[in-house]
Amino acid sequence: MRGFTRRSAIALALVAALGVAACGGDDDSSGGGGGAGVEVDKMVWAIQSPVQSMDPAIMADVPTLRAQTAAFDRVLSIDNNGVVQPWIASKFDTSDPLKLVLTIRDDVKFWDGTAMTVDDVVYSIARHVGPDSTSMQSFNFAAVTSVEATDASTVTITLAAPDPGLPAKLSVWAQVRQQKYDEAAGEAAGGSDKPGMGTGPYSITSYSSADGVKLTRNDSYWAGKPKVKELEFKVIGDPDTARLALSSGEIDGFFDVPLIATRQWDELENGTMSYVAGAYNDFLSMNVTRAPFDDVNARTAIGHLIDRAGLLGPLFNGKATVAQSVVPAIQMTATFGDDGAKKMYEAIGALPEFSIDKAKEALAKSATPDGFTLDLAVDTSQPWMSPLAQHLAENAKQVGITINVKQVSAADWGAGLLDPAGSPLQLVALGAATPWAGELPPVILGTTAGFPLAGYGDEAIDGLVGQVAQAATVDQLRQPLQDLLKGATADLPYLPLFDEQVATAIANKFVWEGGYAYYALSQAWPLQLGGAG
Amino acid sequence: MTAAVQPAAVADPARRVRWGWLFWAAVGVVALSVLAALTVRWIAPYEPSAQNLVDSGQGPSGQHWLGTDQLGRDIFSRLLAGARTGLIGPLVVAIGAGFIGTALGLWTGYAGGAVDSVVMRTIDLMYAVPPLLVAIVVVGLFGGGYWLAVGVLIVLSAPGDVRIVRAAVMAQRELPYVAAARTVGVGPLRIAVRHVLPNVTPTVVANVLLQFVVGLIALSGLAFLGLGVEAGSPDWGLMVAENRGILDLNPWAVIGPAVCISLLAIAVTVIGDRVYEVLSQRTAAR
Amino acid sequence: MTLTAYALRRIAAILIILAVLSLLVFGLLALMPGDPALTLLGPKASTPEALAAVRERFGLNDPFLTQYARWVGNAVRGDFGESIYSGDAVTTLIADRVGVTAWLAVYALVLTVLVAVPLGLAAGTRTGSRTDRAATAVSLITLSAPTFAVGFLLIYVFAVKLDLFPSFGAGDGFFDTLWHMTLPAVTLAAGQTAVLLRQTRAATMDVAERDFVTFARARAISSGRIRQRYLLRNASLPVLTSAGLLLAYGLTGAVLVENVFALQGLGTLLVRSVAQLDLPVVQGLAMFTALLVLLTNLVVDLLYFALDPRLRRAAVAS
Repeated sequence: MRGFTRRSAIALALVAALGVAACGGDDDSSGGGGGAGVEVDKMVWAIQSPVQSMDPAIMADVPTLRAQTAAFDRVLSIDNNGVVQPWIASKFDTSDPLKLVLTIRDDVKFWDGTAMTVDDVVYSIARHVGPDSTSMQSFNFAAVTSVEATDASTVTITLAAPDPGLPAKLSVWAQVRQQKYDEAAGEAAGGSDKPGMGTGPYSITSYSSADGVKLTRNDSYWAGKPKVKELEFKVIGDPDTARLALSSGEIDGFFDVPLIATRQWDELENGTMSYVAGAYNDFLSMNVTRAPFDDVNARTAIGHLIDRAGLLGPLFNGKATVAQSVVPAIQMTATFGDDGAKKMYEAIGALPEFSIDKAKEALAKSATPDGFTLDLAVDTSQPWMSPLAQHLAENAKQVGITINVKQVSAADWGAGLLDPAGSPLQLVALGAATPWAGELPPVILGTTAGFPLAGYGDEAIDGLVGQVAQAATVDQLRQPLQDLLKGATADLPYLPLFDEQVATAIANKFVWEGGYAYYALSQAWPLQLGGAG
Repeated sequence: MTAAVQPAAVADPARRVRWGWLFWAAVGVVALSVLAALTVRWIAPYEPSAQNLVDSGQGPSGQHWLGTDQLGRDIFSRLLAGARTGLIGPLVVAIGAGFIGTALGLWTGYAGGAVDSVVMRTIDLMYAVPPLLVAIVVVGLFGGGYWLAVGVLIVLSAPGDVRIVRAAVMAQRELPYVAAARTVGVGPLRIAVRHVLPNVTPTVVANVLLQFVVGLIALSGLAFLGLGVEAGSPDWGLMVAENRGILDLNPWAVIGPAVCISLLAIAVTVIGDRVYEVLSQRTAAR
Repeated sequence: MTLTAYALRRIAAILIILAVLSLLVFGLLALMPGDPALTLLGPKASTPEALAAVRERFGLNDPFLTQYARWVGNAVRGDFGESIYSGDAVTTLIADRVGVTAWLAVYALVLTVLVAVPLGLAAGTRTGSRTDRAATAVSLITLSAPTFAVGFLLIYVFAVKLDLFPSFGAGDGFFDTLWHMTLPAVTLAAGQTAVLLRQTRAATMDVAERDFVTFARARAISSGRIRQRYLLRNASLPVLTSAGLLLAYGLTGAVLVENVFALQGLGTLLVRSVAQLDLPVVQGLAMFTALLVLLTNLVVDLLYFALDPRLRRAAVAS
């Protein structure tokens, strides 16, 4: 249950775009091998924390996923525009909302030369499904009731309730692994001795959580062989160290550069930074079922105490924007277009502005006019959290509210979010995997939410959430989403804070064709790499 | 790294007892730290926790002598305030460990037998795991703050004092004056406190000062790893860790606290060395 | 008493210490706040089924002592369980990282001995001299500067400004590793040098005041010979003790150095496992660390015993 935040696992409920996204499906940048640059011998990527397993059922935080997705094919793929595309499944049929039918390619071979069968695909999906599943990702597949091979090239997934996000989830979590290999490996599967047998563009030469991952090109890869012969992942925890390593040529790229550190990275002479808008949403959760936040005035008071615009520079080096709702801004524009998004924001209303005086007024109207005392846990591995919490605590002190900032590990922080006895005030960072604006609200709003952090919901809200969750077109989504967000802005169970960008550094010796894309984790991304020639 | 440190031994006894300029400079550093800790509220140019986002991450200027941190807080004021956790925790560690260590050392050294065996075997056990690692595990797993870290360090530092005092007591125990006191019917506790203790005082005092340094380095190391002090507190070790990201904008936000830790540690070490030399010469001269 | 008898007695003591320690280390699980099953489940979805499976697997429904006995039984056979995060065997995780830490510790110790012993001898034989004062001053500063500050300083000067050494990573092959490990080893050695220098100086001064050295001087034996024949040999015992301790602590206590230089050694493993509440790894590391320290001390004591005839005689007499 701890693994749904950005740090510990990208993307919870991935709701698919299903071709409804703004751009058409004619983009082929996620497919086709060997498009970019010239052949090179080796490329070394650095990540900030160790690759903890080569199996997403065991562990799949973002750095770990970076390595997993370089080696293992997924059943489907998401292109640079966020549209789900065929991959190992050459066709997928969603015409029945309670069924997903996948047609599996017949030309795919594992690294050991044996042919991939439809049973391997069934195994690779079904292992995340059902009450007996020990997979960390099982919560993503809660709606699935069965996964079956209906013939030698067809897999049918049956659902208990519609889940428009299923295809997108399959493009991250349904990593194709050889059943025979995993069964022989038993509990060792995914570990350093038995990392797994896949079909992807690279096979695993060596893996250990200490030394990182070494990958060798799969020369007979079905989608064309990549340009880089060897791919290596090294762990460098400190961004400054990584920057020195890149400038001295010891590494060739660095994923997920902390935004506050990018100022120095921008000055690299032998490397280039790429920034893409991320569907990352940071917010403050205030549990409406618990004192003091069972009073909207107390929540509003907190809302007035954070200078969100003023913090963009100090916390993110300007590489973030002030969030206007719990839906990431890029999802809003991707789904409704620029004008549509603007209209949406006007309709849902503005969030409380930064003002100590207004905070005092709101607090005076609340049930706790003399203030209150709360703990606020910050995850030390997310560098913006601690200074933000210190900022809030200092401002809160001036109106009589005491906030004790507690530095905790990522694990403790994740556990605290769902602890019913924990603090009603929590900092949260969520990552989305698609451009669909309906993706995140059902996850955190309503009594049926997967993660009802703020306990916000009643019959009317649940009704809206249900409409948002099952909306398959933009028109079906617009009105319920607008009503839902309007209510959430007024009631303020969550104070939306920032939309963060994703920063990637790449040495000038290499090219990433089309540039790094936010959806890389849902793609066979090494195919886009090559030498600059 | 606490175990093997012992005060530099006595120099030529023929030399006259002189405190020397280094000693007084060290006393000056400590006095300034104490003064800063006590008067920070009045002398600091800014409230140490006051933020000013517009001035975030600035280098030294007339307004902010050592610049500001990420949230625009004044580094100089925070350094002054940092003297508080820089002094209190290590002091409690040193005195706590010194007290426990001396008491246990006197007792075991004098009593011997079963008491001695039990205490010494316990100490052997504690020596088997390096103190910093134990502190990391305990504070990390149990999520305690500054005072838990201080408590752990007291317990882990005491064995050193026990060993030193016990050895000194055992050496003293066989000396004629103790035997004489015993024959005239002075009780063991009285002998320990009245006769033996004064003779081991130089060692104990020097070791308490040394434990202060060890405590300071350990606590700032823990703070650097994000364990112990609360986020945002003006603590030197924590400031080094929190300001690493703005090293390019304001290096003084990192250099300042690192220098403060080092200076205070050096000063106390110097005082410890000199106090040991001088006290043991006086004791010898008695 | 023979060396064998002495060794046996010490080994018995070590086993007792390990036994007591194992009880404490295993007790960590019981002492941790919250449900042990939740702790051991780690990041996986905490469904009732999953929790029941964990309880079953770790025998959490058994009495404490039964659980402890099972844990010890496995531990003796070298099985400390698996990381609750990666599923890797704890012993594999430790084996993967012990090389880096051992390199660092041994390299640092070599540097420490090469610097501290000659300087300490020189300082101790001529107290008050310029060498002595310089050595004391250096030891003061390196002893008191926090490790992480020294590390950053070295990175800034030698990696960033002068670009002489790499700032991170462990390297491949002997010479590459030597090159990569130099800055971390110097950082670790800085604090150790101060300790060993002070020890050597004190031991030398102690020996230098003894009668046999005075006699030797009176017989006009050259000071070089005196240093070699008498001082070095007699001062070597206390120096050996502290060097042994330093090695044991360096093997395990280099947490901050590994942190600063992004080395994947035992220290970084410990810090991360503690942060993730990965209890089996923490328990395994604690036992492994204790074993290392105890074995190092044993070797030092045995050497001590073999080297010093007086100690042997005393042991026989007792």
